[in-house]
Amino acid sequence: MHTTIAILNQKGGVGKTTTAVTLASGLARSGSRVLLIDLDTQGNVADSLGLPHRDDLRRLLSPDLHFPLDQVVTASGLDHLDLICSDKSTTALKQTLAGVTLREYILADVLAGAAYDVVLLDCAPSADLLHFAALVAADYLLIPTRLDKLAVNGVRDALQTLVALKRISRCQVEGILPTFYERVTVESHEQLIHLVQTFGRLVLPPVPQDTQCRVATRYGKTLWEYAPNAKSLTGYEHGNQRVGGYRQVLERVKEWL
Amino acid sequence: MKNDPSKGMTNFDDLPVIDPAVDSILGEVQRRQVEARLPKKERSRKKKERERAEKRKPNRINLDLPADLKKRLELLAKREGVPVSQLVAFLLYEPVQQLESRAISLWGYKTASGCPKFECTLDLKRRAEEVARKT
Repeated sequence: MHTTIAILNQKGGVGKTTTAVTLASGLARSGSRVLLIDLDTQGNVADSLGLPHRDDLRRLLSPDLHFPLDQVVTASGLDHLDLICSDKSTTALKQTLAGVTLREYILADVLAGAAYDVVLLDCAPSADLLHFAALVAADYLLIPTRLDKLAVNGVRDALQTLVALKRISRCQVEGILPTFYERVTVESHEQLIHLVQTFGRLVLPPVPQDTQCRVATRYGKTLWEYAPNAKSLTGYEHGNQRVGGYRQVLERVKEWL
Repeated sequence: MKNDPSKGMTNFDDLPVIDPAVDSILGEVQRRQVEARLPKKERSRKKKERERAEKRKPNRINLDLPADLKKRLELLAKREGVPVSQLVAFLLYEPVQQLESRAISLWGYKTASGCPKFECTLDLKRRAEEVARKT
């Protein structure tokens, strides 16, 4: 039986796709069978992995097409990692689904019995139908957030959405991931303190701001392939150990599985 | 492991614990901020101290040994053809075990310390004399 993790924040540009791709490829590298589903019309998961946009999501979820999962998955080119890509057709899909009854369960139904260890859902930065479907399908919710006021408000909005769905969702908030963390700026530090004071143990080790993330995306490579020693992966040096970064976040996520 | 539906939604009432990695990052930033406000001389002293501490291996202890004990250890290590630090570690296992199990105690050797960091110091001279008398 697989574990489904939704990566979601209603604020855009907080690092949802980078987080989804990095964690999915990290889990795949450690031997888990991973399915990464892009629920955003921008189709940035495919871009991040150097693949063309495809309408996998529409073919999977559209009531009139309804292809089986194994027929729509795209091979990522990495071992153990499959994708359901998205493109502009997802906008039409959302319109089609608007008239379907029990539409919030559509992802959960499609994923039931999927032959994977982990399913990661990369959500769009908007409270739409697929967003709700992701929260219903997910076991755990991971909320990446930049350390600024607006993005932290996005965390609050995501939690409010989850509360609104509490009758039909059993999703647990398991991690709030501070991204684009700058150790030298007071604002980053104060927002991190604010998050920790509010959410305590839910706040995961922050991911440092790192240009390598953008460069890796430009080359269509994961961070593990393009820059295995990047600060965003390895975190900060702290005495004899390293703290923060996706490598440490991955270890935390593995504890949920 | 699949999420247990019986757990219900995340409970936000019991969240005071901080992830240790987050705690150490916050502590480090706070230390930097405090250090930045110090006078230049003090700041560079702190920096040097920190660099020295970072270079130190985590399982290394600097020992201040009485001169004669140091000399005897060095001679023994030379005779046995082993590093001094390994010889000290070898010799320590038994008394450490005895002290942990309270088979021996430091009673009688403790004297009040003038240093605010420690409550007491040990009278090593007395210990040396007693060991010499016993043997």
